[in-house]
Amino acid sequence: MALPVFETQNLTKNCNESLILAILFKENKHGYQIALDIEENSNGQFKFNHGTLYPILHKLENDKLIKGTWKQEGPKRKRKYYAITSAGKKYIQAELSEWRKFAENFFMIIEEIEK
Amino acid sequence: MNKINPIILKLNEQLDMPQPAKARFILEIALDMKDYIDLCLKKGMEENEALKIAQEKFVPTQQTLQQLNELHFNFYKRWFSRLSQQIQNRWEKIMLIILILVIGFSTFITISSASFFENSSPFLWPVIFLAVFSIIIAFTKLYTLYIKQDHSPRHLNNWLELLLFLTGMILLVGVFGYFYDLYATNTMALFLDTHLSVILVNSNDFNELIKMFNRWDIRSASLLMISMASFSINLFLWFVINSKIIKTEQQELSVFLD
Repeated sequence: MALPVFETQNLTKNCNESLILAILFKENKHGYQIALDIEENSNGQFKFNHGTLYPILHKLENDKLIKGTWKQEGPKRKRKYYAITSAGKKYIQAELSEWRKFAENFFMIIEEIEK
Repeated sequence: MNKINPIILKLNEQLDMPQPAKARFILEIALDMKDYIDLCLKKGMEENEALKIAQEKFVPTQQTLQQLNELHFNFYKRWFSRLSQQIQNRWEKIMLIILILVIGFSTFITISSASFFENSSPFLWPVIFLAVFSIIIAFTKLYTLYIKQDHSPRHLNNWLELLLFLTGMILLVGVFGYFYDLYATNTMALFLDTHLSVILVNSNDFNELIKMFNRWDIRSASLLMISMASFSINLFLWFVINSKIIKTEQQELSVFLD
């Protein structure tokens, strides 16, 4: 898996991927729970439309950054839970440092107005 | 759950991906949608309103549908899925079985003749190894699907791509071996042509030479025959397994929608 590429046109994609991988870092979750946790943990800042969530989840699964597993939930119900893989953990750590660099550079320009 | 059925059925029509992937995706989205509706109802929202919001929130847009379709249905998967779905008619199945039996039987008759392995091509053994390995995989899969009846979505498609890969390898090794033998035979023929006066002392030598070329022809042809037969049988087994998987997934989906 290639390391994340930070370009302004990729920001939404990188942001969505980072949020999902970060939410899955500590605990395995199903799609709905992922969207709900992101929304709650960000105080409503990041609202995921589920229609856009699934293609991202399936792409991350295809890239082997997360792994989906069907688990029995109750007597008749099966649910797909996603877990971050070791490649996914490495990827999110690389993304984290890229986000830090991005934020530093971003604020360096934006904060100029306060000086 | 019945209330979301029209949404799910519409989504089913819009998704152009293999049935197993489609069934699993629909199952995933439907369960999430149900949880969301339950949450809305718990908050005191009316059912119709909750349903409307859930539809807006969960049903993918045309763009995301396209992304999903491309993600799950590349050219190779699309081609093989169409192939296995098209042969669903009873008569087509019978014709296919007869064809495979004829190929299998004629190959068996040829192999069982004593002279078959005497002059075998060195490429015959890898082909036989690959064929035996893929047949073991196919029968293990058939046992899991039909006798053990393990229909868990996680294991349903296991080994299927390996089976196809081995099938392709059988054909590739067979065809390569055939052309390699052909090349070797003709290179030898050219060599002999330049040294013919030294080698051919009498008519017996000439007969031996002809026999040598015959043996080369037979071994190349037998290699190709075994490869083609194994290839056809493997494809047939893959088709049977894939059809069973598609049927299982469809049953799973209909049970869920019920």
